[in-house]
Amino acid sequence: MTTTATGALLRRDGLARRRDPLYAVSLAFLGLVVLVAAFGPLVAPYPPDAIDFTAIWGSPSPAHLLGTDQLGRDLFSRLLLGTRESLIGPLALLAGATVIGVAIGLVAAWNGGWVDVLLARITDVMFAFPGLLFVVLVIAVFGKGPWTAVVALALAYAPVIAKFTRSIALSELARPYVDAYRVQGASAVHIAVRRVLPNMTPALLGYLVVLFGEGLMSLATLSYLGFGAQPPSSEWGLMVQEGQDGIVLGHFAPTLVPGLAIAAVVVAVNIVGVRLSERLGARA
Amino acid sequence: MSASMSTPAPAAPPALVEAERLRREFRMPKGQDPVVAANDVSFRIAAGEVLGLVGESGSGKSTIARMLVGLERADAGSLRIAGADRFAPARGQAARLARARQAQMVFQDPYGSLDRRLSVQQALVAAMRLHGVADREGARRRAGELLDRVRLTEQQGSLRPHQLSGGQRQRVAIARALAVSPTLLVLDEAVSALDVSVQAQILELVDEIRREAGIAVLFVSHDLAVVDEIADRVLVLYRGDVVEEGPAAAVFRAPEHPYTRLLVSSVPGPGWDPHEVIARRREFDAAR
Ligand SMILES: Nc1ncnc2c1ncn2[C@@H]1O[C@H](COP(=O)(O)OP(=O)(O)OP(=O)(O)O)[C@@H](O)[C@H]1O
Ligand SMILES: [Mg+2]
Repeated sequence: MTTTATGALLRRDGLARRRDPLYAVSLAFLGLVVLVAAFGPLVAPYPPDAIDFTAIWGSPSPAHLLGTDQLGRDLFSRLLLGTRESLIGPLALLAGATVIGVAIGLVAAWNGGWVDVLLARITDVMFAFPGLLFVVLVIAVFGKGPWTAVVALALAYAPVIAKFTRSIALSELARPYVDAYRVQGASAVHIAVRRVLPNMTPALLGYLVVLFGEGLMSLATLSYLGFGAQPPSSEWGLMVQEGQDGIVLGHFAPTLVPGLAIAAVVVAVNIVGVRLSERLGARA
Repeated sequence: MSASMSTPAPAAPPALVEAERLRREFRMPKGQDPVVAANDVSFRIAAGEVLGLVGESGSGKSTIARMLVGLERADAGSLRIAGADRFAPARGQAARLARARQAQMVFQDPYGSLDRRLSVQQALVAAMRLHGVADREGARRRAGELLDRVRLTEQQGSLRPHQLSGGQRQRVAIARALAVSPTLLVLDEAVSALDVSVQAQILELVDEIRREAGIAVLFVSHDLAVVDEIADRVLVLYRGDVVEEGPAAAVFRAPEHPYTRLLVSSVPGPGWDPHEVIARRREFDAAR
């Protein structure tokens, strides 16, 4: 399933590059970000927590390409090393939310009737409850920390995915090939998970990519508020928060560097996600 | 005394499909009468026989067809295929698969009834593996034979549905149904979306299958000419009621029931006048 989707994506890439430079640039940028997440620690000139009191609030220089923060830590190194944590969080939250949301959406669409109504009520309640408030509540109960934030956000995102999944599953289940599988004697679980779900992935994929951008921003926000990543982590949201003190002193780089990184990734992810759902949606 | 002496009349060969007084109502939005899509419909189909089911749109043809393959429940009545009760709940994989081998269906829409993600070959192999053909090699060989049988080439077997024409897709749908080795094949308007020459090819194929494999066929269509061509016997449905039943030749050439007569005379031909057809139809409905 994923191989065909990615295959189609790659085959279309040649076309995309010529006709849609924005998409190509975004894709290339995200590729670079992934490389940094994988190999950043090998490239970074300093350890992320190497404190140097002789170089506090340093401006960009050959020794510190992007300058230093309030503890004299190298911003470039911290940016590189924070990439992995900044990406893995949203990825994990999305994975969790997808499993829960897709399961709920599929079960609701498949069963219809009171099951659908019940699940719709539950997701509506989850939906109506302010996401951030819910997250803060979960954190209040389970204590702050990066994984609590991820779990809480996964629960907050699940209803959105459930709603979306349900709507595309309904139109997919109305197709006669589903009846054909029933007549063939396949079980409900087999049809829903092995046959219908793969046919929905193109539509789901683009949506999930866009959600990834939102998830990254939400997690960064939580870290900024102090509920997510904890010092001495160099998660980007936390970096923004720690760099804030510099603003009154006229040192903008410590907030600007991670802030721009977040913004750039989110924008690129949105561009790719929207284009992806257009393409894959048109194909389906 | 004499009654006990007489030998019992030789029982007619047991029919493969025995449908007794099938009934199905659909509830309509509040304030409207329910629609009776099947009103005490009874019929039999012998192995190797083609039963045609005709009637205008909304007369309940699809409802009955879908009952036979378990896609629609009945409010009342009984249905047996090869002696097995189709309405008893089938619990478990084995029971479901056994049911599937009793009856398979080819749907009207050649575009939506195939899984767009699977190649023809994959779809056939998947059906066989579901039904316990354990080795992939054997399944693949049988898929080749099935393709051959519905006159598709090995090369077409590697294509996905969107790369095939409507007629080719219906062949694939037939092959997929046959992959399960059913005793009954239900075709619901299976050729209605195809042009005439392609229709003829599919009809020929269906005829060949029932002759060679002895499969019983329920052939649903609103096209009398097509049913006349393929069916041995015909059931005429009007608003859920069977109004006439008999050998195809008799029903179409000497229709007895006024509705059948109306249907037969409504078929476009020389001297066909649409206004007259509509007027007579109105008269008929008013008289009921
Ligand atoms: N799921 C359903 N819910 C409500 N009414 C239904 C449903 N399925 C069928 N009906 C009604 O039952 C009647 C018979 O429908 P059916 O589809 O069996 O007719 P048909 O003879 O196959 O018509 P066509 O030639 O147009 O396919 C129609 O009046 C239809 O509106
Ligand atoms: Mg129909």
